Amino acid sequence: MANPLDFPLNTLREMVIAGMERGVSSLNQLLDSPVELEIPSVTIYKPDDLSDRPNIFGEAPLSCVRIGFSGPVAGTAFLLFTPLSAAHLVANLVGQNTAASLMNGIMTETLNEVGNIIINGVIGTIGNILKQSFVLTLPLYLEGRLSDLLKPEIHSDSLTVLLFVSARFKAKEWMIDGTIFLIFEVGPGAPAL
Amino acid sequence: MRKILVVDDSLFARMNICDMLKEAGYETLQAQNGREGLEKVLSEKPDCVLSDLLMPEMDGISFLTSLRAMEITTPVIVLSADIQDTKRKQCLELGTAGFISKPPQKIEILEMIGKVLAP
Repeated sequence: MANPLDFPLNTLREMVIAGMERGVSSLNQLLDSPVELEIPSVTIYKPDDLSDRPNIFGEAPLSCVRIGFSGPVAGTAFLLFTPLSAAHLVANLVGQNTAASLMNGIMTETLNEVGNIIINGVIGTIGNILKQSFVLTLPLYLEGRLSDLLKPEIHSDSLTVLLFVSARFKAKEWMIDGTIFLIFEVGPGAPAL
Repeated sequence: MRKILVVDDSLFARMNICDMLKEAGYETLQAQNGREGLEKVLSEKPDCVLSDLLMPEMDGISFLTSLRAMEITTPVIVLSADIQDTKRKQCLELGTAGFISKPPQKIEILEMIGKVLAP
């Protein structure tokens, strides 16, 4: 398995940008409305950085779809929305007039499918660029603070390095504001940082 | 009326696709995974199947492999969020009649079904 840090950061960033553009373009198709993507940021953390600063990602509760991936590189992808943005997205996709009693049941289903489409777009594009295959897990819908959502993904191995790539996107017309968040876990073979 | 089986674990996806197909005059059947899909292919004998790939219990690749092993020739169009070229090639090798990326466009689905069902 390749180490993401074996790729120059610019190459990795370019691959992820291409993937995120594909993912956001799928959201644009779903919503039939323009979606703007910000330039992704790349940050490198050690697990201790995160446990020492549990509030590093803020306190706000989020709606999240999580999909794990393995292949040439392994990690976890998240699609994150504020609860209000998630509600706007689902209302737009299933119809504004859907009865409130049905809305809760369909919310998880809909967000999982949106996450599935967007995250597969991101990871599939990276796989196509590398001409290698990724295996993805089924989407899982979660709610909570980002630091709590990330905990199961962060192993205590002091040699592990986490490469975070994130980008915000906005569909202004529908007041939808979200983030695509990828964590690449780099094992003990990673170069010293 | 031509009968189309939609195999997808996502209720949202099944609802959307079935609505598109019903509007176009097709009868629709639904299955939540490959195992249910296989049962419905055998019992309901649909004219065409639209199948997702990533599903619990039995995924789309296993579903296609099982159909092939049973020498069932019902055409299957894969409709998946998985856009990897390697996966598309694998599906084609398993005899899939076509591949559509999610989110699906109504015209793309109807054109491909029309082509697959053409005499």
